[in-house]
Amino acid sequence: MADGSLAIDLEQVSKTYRGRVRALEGVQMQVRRGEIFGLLGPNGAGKSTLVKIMMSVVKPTSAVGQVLEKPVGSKGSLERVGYLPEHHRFPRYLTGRQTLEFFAALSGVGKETRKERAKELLETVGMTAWADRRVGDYSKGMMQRVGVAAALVNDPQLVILDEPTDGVDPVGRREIRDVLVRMKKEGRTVFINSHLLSELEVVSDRVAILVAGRVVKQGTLNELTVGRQYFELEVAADRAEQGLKRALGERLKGTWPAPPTAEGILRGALGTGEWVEIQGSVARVGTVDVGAAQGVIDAVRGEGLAIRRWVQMRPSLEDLFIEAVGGVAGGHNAGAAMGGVVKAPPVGGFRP
Amino acid sequence: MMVQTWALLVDAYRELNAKKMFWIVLILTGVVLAGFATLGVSGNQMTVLWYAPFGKVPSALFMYKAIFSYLVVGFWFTWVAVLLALISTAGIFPDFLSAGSIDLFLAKPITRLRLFLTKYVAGLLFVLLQVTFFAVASFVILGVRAGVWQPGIFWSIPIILVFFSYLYGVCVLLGVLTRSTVAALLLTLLAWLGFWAVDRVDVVMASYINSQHATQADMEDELARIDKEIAANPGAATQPATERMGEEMYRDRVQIGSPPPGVGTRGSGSGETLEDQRAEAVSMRDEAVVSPTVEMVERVVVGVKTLIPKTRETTNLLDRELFTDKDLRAATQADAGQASQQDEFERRRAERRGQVWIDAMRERSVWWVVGTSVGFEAVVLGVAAWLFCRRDY
Repeated sequence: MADGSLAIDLEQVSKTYRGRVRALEGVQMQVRRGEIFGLLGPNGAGKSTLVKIMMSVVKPTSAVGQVLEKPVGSKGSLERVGYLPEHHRFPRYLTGRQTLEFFAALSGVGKETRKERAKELLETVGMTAWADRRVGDYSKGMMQRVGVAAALVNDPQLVILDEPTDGVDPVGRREIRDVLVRMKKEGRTVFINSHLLSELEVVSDRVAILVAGRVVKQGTLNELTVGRQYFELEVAADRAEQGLKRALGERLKGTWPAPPTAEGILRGALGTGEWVEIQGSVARVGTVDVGAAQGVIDAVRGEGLAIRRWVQMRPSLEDLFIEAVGGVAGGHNAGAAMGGVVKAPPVGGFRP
Repeated sequence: MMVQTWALLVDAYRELNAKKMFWIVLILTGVVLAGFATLGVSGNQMTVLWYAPFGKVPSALFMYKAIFSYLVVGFWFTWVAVLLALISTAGIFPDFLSAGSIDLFLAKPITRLRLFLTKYVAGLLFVLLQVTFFAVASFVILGVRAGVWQPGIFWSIPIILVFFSYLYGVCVLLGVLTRSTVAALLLTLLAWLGFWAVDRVDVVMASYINSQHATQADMEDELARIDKEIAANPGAATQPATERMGEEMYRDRVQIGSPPPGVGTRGSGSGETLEDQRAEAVSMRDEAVVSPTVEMVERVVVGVKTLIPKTRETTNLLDRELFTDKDLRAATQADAGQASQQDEFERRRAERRGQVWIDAMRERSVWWVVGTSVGFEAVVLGVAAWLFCRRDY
């Protein structure tokens, strides 16, 4: 069933190469219109195969789904899709401007329009000064910028970028990120396949993690870390650990069923059910409810402890990725890892 | 749709323009034509620049055209220039299919088949541009230097283009299969060698068979002459030549280099009777019968040749345009005229061989030569297109 709010709606996409190698197994994925969607996965997970199926470069073994309301793998929607493949090789004998105009023409864009768009886009990606030099003379980063521009030259509704910041220096990455945000503001849907998790984390609205040809996780970062977020609090006081133990144990009815671990982490649960742990002057409370977290602050303050730091934490995209591919994982139910591998940037929160 | 096709053709032109080989071949063709332009025809004389170092030349115009046909077209354009064109274009499909390049094209709203065919046609641009330059320059040179304003020369454009397309079709298939420029080029050259070898076998066998048939016809002529002589003078059948015509006259004839007729090109020996000559003519006629095995092998060779491109015969089609029947007959009659001064038999023989040559040039229809070759090309391209369209990249 076509859903107009979805740019990509894959229900069941499979690909087996030469009857033996299963690259994709029943991939299900939904990308909403107007969002930036990140596709992650280890090498060999099938990311490029999935992208190539959507772009009709690879033929699926079976496919149920739509891209811009046209059957996946068909040419029907490609006029409205922009694509930058990984390790792209634009003709070296063309200039940057000719490259954009040529690929615009292949998308069926008229002469005047493609000239205008090429000029605009070269400016957008900072390549105006190099517009009339041959692509063969470009650095990797310059080629990538022209590639991003080429993906936009047909004014697409959906832009699919495979490793768009590959080989680009930090300044260039920042500029490409700005272009992505601008694409979103212009109402385009952006689908990014990238290894740079930190890049994706900053720009993506939603992500999917593909492992061994299957989507193992899909959603917003918040959705994917529900139950995995917590507040971390650090106090500045002598005998902080005793103070925290009193505040959380006596005032909030926390219990400590086991002695501290070898690393000095004392684990337990509050009377209201949230998990809690104390490690030196740091306490962690497993909740996403800011209201509930206020009780912790009150209890700590009630013990006369000065709060140095108060941060809401969640697993990073990298943590989710590594967990999904079967590496070392962080998680509240794997309490031992908490605080060790969960090293997300602050989201909200305050500093005293 | 036209926007995309036109864009691909313009891109192909830009690609050619960027290739040094394109300009090298164009300049070399210019040099070859400039060299040819030093030759000219003035009346019955062949000139070099403004001089006529050879004096009067029989069939000067025919010779001039023959030099153009065999050296300029036959050697330069159908061997060297086409070889250089293949070297230049062999990489088009392997490059196009390389990772990172093909994705850019397949992700566009163009069907794979149209993409394939447009790219194929774009590959022919190399030769189209080269041969157009060649045809225009040749037309002017033949007109100015020989006074022959022959629009038929423009047939060289489709003829050489279609000839190149046979090889390019093979090269495209091999490029799609191997995705390697070197492999595609080398295997195409090998295929070309194969086509050439089959053609050579056909040419050698056909000329052997034709010459045997001509010998049979010659001997039939001889038998008719001998029988006529015997009918006129039955008693002469068993007389040696010296007796038939008198010893003195026989000696005189031998002395002036015109002995009485004998079988074939030799004169009658002094002791040779007409019966002897007759027996020899019958024997030679019977020896000239082509064995059924040879005929069968030739039929097989022609059958094989029907299935593959006929590269030589395709380029030879230009000769049909360059040389009229009148030109050819004039050339063969010049030979026959020289021969007739010696012997009636020799004259008829030269005429017969000339006709065999003319027939060989014209006997196979354009449709057989081009139609079956293009059929081969269509099959090869069909396989290449099928592979291109169904493959994952």
